[in-house]
Amino acid sequence: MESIILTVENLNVFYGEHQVLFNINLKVHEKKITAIMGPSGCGKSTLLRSINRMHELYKDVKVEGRIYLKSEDIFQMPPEEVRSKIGMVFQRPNPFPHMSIYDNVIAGYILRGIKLKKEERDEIVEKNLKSVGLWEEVKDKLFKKGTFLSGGQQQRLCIARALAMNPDIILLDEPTSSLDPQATAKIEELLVDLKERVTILIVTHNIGQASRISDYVAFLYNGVLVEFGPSTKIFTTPENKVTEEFLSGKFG
Amino acid sequence: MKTRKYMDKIFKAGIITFSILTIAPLFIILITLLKWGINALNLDLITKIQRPVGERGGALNSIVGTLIITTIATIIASPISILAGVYVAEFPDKLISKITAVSSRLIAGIPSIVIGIVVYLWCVKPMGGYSALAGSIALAIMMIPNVVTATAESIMMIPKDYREASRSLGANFTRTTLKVIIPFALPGILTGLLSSFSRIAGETAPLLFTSFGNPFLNLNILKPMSALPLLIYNYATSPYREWHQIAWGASLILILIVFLVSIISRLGVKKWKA
Amino acid sequence: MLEEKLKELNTEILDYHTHVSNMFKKAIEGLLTRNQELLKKVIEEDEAYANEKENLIDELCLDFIALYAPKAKVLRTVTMILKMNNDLERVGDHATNIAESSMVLIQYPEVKELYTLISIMASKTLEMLKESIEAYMKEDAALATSVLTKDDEIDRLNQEIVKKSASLCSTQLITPEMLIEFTAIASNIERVADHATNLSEDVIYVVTGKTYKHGHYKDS
Repeated sequence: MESIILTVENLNVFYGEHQVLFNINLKVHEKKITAIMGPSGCGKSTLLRSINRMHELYKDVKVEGRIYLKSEDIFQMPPEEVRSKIGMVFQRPNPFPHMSIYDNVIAGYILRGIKLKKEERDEIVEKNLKSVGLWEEVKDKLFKKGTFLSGGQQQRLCIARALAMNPDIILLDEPTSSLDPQATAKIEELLVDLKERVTILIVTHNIGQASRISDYVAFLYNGVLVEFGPSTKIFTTPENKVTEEFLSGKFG
Repeated sequence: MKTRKYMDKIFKAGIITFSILTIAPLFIILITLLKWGINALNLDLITKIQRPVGERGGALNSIVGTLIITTIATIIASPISILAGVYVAEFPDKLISKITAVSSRLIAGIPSIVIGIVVYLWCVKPMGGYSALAGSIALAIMMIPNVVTATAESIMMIPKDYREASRSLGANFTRTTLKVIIPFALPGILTGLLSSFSRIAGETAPLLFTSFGNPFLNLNILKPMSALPLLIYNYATSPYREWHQIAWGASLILILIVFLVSIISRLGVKKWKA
Repeated sequence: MLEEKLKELNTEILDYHTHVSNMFKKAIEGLLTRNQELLKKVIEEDEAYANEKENLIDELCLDFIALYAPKAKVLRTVTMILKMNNDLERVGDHATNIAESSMVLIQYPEVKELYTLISIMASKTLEMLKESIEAYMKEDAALATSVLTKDDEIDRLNQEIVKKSASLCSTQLITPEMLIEFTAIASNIERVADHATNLSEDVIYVVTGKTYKHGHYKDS
């Protein structure tokens, strides 16, 4: 029985006077991969970043509407708490360059000032590096800085870093767009494995990627949620004409 | 046609000449310093304190004085300037931030002697006398612009990715700044600190009104203290040959100190980055 | 990811093959052992299931192509599964027809000669069906090709049954109604064999990328 873990209600987002998202209503299913898809500039990243309140780092961004994590209104929670339950992975891999690989995995704890015993730390590092398939590759180099890792490995490290906080949801903003095809394939497989552990919300402009890995798809166009449904339905028999045109490559 | 060719050659020759002209003073200074100062370099210089003419004296108290005063100046200036730099970099649109940035630049333009006189008024007089601390305060004021700018610029060069990554993990502004931003910007900040240090190590005018000078070895910062620039000033303008010698020696030592600090800082930054 | 999904598809098509092969077997057995219950089962239960299964496999293939945009061998495999699905559904149809004709024939006494011929023709056809799916599972193009050679024998047997029935009818050893049903059964068995050859041609395409249609290789 699937349950809904995140509900977005009547979300409107403005950059200054300019409205970017119009009345978005979305329900995200627990422990499934939901892809947010659409042409460039349609508001996908804006929607994603609203969910972990990243917009509050910048002035001039106004967010209206409600977002519920399970049944709690995330705007009534301290932003730091929201972000510890909803992790994020960015487009360009960004492991902290002045921290070792080991420290990068537990960076969330370090940066929040949460003290852990050595055994706890070791366990978290090993468990999460194994989850992303990096353990064997880096277990002898844990205390080196991560700069020698390839782009794909760095991105997996970032995923481990987000996972280490045991979030309910992980948001990924075009996580493979700067990676080569092999690294991309590895990460796609990884995400499919990870959904048993955590709900995944991924923004992608790559239709193939959305179709390969997602269970549900939200199609955004010009800031409007045009269509939402199970992937098998959206990619075979979309209901909306605009969705149909986007999928046939009429515009990108 | 021929005139154009000649003009070209003359111009090129001119550029080269003037370049040499600008390098020349540096070489002249270094050579002069070495020539006159080398003779003065002996153990006495660094082991003995100042003594009246006739007795064999040295510059020990001034060397110690310079080191103490500049170190304390750095300790005073660093937290203030670094944090101000952080504020300017992270909140560039706030009014106070803009005022800070402008003020910082204006301080850089204030003549050092004016700073000396003002600190005399606000520190020396209320404290009842000259002191090394007052000297440090004056020098600290002079350090502020460099360090604020270096800090702010280093921080602004950090890609926003890292800030966002830290915040997305649930870190608040303070922790992000202390554990991600500042460590990242540290090489730049240190460079700024050390170039400031090099500058103030040789400042004479402010010290004239604040730490004043002291013929004895003094470690109490609330009392007047000597410093190498002061020593050089006093001895070089005296009529005694021996004292002139000591002044040359002290000059050489001053340059060596600045040099050493510069090299160590550069190596230190390199190691840090690795 | 892809391999797992493809495995699921394969499982379904194998299941379907087993089901319709059994329908065929049961229909023939029902005639030869004059078992009305068995024939009823084929007509009433098995046929409905066969239709449902065909729809399911169609949908799975469509979804697979939409989601995974397969290329090369995987693409050939999935498109061929769609075609095999169609052929298998037709086999199910023919099995049902055979069962219906058998229901009529078992009202009448046994006709030894014709029953024997039908039994031979059916068992050879069943073998062709079995080998075609075996060739698919083992990706054995040679085995698939050998199935194609057996088709002539089936045609010959079909002719024989028709001729024999006609002569038996003219000598009034069987009624005209029986003649119709016997010829219908033979023709349906021949169609099943035809579909088995289609399946084999599909296997050859998947494995070699060459189209073997209608008796010869086509360079692709």
